[in-house]
Amino acid sequence: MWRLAGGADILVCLGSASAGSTFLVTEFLQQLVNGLSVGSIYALIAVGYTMVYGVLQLINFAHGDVFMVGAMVGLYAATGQVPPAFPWWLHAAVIAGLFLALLVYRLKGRSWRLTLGKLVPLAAIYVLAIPGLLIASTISKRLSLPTWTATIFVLIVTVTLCGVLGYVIERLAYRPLRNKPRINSLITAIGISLLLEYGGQNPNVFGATPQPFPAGLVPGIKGALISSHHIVIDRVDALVLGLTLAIMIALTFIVLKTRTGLALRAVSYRFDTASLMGVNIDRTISFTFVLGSCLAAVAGLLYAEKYPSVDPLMGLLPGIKAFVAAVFGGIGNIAGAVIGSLVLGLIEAMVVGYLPGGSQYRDGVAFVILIAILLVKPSGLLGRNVVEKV
Amino acid sequence: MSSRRSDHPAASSDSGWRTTLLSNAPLPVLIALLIPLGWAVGSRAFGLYNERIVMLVGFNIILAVSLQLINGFSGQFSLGHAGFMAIGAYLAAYPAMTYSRQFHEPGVTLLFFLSLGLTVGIAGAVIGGLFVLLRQSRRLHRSAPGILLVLMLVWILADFAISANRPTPTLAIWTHGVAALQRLFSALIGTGTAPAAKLSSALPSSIRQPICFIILLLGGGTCAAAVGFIVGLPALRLRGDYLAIATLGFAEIIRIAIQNSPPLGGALGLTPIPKYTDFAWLYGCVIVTVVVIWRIAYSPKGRAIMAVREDEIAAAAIGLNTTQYKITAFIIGAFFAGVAGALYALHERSITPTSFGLQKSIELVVMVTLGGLGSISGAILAAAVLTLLPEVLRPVEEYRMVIYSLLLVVMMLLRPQGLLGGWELWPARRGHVRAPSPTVAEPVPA
Repeated sequence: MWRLAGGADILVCLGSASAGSTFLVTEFLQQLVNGLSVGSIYALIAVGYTMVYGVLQLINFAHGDVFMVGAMVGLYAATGQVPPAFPWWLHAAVIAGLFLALLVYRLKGRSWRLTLGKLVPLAAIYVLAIPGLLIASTISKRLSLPTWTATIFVLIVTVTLCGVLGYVIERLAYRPLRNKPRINSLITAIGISLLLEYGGQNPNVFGATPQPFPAGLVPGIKGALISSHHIVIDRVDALVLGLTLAIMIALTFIVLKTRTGLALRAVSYRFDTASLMGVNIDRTISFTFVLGSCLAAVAGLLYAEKYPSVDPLMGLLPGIKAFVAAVFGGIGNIAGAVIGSLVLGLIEAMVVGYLPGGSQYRDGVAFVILIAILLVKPSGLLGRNVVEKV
Repeated sequence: MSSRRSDHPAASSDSGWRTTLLSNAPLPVLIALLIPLGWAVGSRAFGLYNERIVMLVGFNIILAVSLQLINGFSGQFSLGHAGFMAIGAYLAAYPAMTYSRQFHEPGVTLLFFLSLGLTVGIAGAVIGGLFVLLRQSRRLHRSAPGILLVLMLVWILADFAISANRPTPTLAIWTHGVAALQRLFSALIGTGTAPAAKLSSALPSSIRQPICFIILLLGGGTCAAAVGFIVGLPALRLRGDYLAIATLGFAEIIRIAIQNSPPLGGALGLTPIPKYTDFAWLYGCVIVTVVVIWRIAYSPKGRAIMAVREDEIAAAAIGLNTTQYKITAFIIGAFFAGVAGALYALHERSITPTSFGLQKSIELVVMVTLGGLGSISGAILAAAVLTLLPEVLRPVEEYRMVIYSLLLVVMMLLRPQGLLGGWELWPARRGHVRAPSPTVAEPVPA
């Protein structure tokens, strides 16, 4: 191990305050890798939070649970398990509820044709989802797991389902309340979040007990990429970092170079002006939710691959931390969300690694950072200051 | 001021005697309803399970009504009410276990709170004075964020240094300071115990326990109010979502701090706490809370608080000190949350930090919003309904919370303004009420 010689006194001083050992650059690098890896998972979730906040000014409390659904669906798709069957009356109740909900809204001044037009796709999504899952699980049973085909298949199934879930949540719970005070959307968001958590805990869906996630989902993921006495970089961490980087580049391209991205930026800049300019607001908001949910799904898969245990409450803490990271970076700002997440991941890793008993404070750190940033610069690192006009 | 106040039943009715009768009726009716309920709860046939539910309803009513003052009337969206409840619960449970000798020592219990207040007050004055000097600012609330930030950093660093067993010179100030405060506290307790015990024995033995209990409730509430002041000072500069997130963060920090504090039992919590809260005490406190918050909300000050909610800039323009009103509402809300926490702790026999988490805060916000923002009777109704609902749904155990959450969403979609939507079940003002005058309570400076 290469210790620092007398030259770097400051580092040694820093180290001497901790467990009494000298400061090791390799250990620091190790923590750096851990932090970046966790941080990039937060980033994938935080981007969804920040995009939704950007267009709707809504804290989408259900986002962390979409992340959880991603991991759960990934588990089912990867193992070829079929989720335990719903009783028939529950399907009937869901479809009836769907019809009722839309009837109540759409009948207010809309014609039957319009109502049905809105209704049919939602009902179709629900009706198709279950056989779709069945087909998917049969396919995945045929595919032996650690192959690239199987991996890509699992990825596609998970991302699709979570995208659809994001669309449905927006359509049913947020769109009807778009012109009402924001507190109402906040309450429905909490309701949806509880629904996904407790629905997931139902033994017919997933059950409350944690289940192991297949650790070798991606071929050759086990083991370390670089391993020496000094530093160990797991392949999972490398995958997480690489994939996040690729996704962020793709996202930047979508937001900056495509027409949909332009619409998204326009809507988040000024809602009503964008609609006057011919931007289809509804479609743009749906797109935002779908995109955010897809990213959350990928994050769910990666998280489950890194910490291979899946349960219905797993979305709570990562969700809240990703949200803190989004606020930290400046909510509504995508680059800010990424930077905030990486910084949060790093700080957490350092606290756990260097403070004795730091793992107890691991979750507290996020909140201390939150308060600090809110008090010093509420608009976040990269956020723009909004001056309120009378 | 919103237009919905002006078409209020009390405001629109001109016949004085009818309004007087109507507005005075609810309290006796409520008490008349509570007496048989209390009698039923007292009887053996009622069962422990049912009694527990009735008590839970009571705690939730106090919490929801006090949160209504913050969220509904002053319009400051707080997501951290459970944090204040935790402060009240822990700071009533700790002296109850350590100093009160099964509630026989009101004097020593009072001494505990006085010493705590003096110690924390001295520390606060020193730190606050330091910052005011440093920043050369006479306005404390401007430097409050800085104070908080440095305190948090020092807290983390001190923990770090103490466990690493190598205090550096800067941290030595902190550790010595903390040790000095601890010495001060134990000295105060030590010198005061004998006179305090004499004071307790001077009281007739029949009222010793109730007085000790009341001291614990007020002490817990006051501590929560003090924390509410410290939290509110910097946090209330923020608005809307940011305020919600900040209060959430503060509540979580309070919870994590308790979780890592050995005297308060850490993650295992405190047990066994002597039990004193019963139906009569709890619902007595419910009535006091409702009446006090009612009288505040529909007083001239309350109208000023509502003016801040409706339009902060306009309220400031007519000369209201908006910060002061917001903080006042926040402190009063925190006080009653602390009282509810104290009642809860002295009923449950054991408390853990997990029961004061984010879930509890969210549950309370849901109650307030479903009841209708700005409606005290709505908050009472929603607290009762939402506490009973999961219990009613027990037979369908697996789908219980699913139905609960679905109802929440559907309710919000169908009735976004909440059950009562800013209205009260009975007239808001006692006696004859004039039509709302265009001026707000405070005199407008010329």
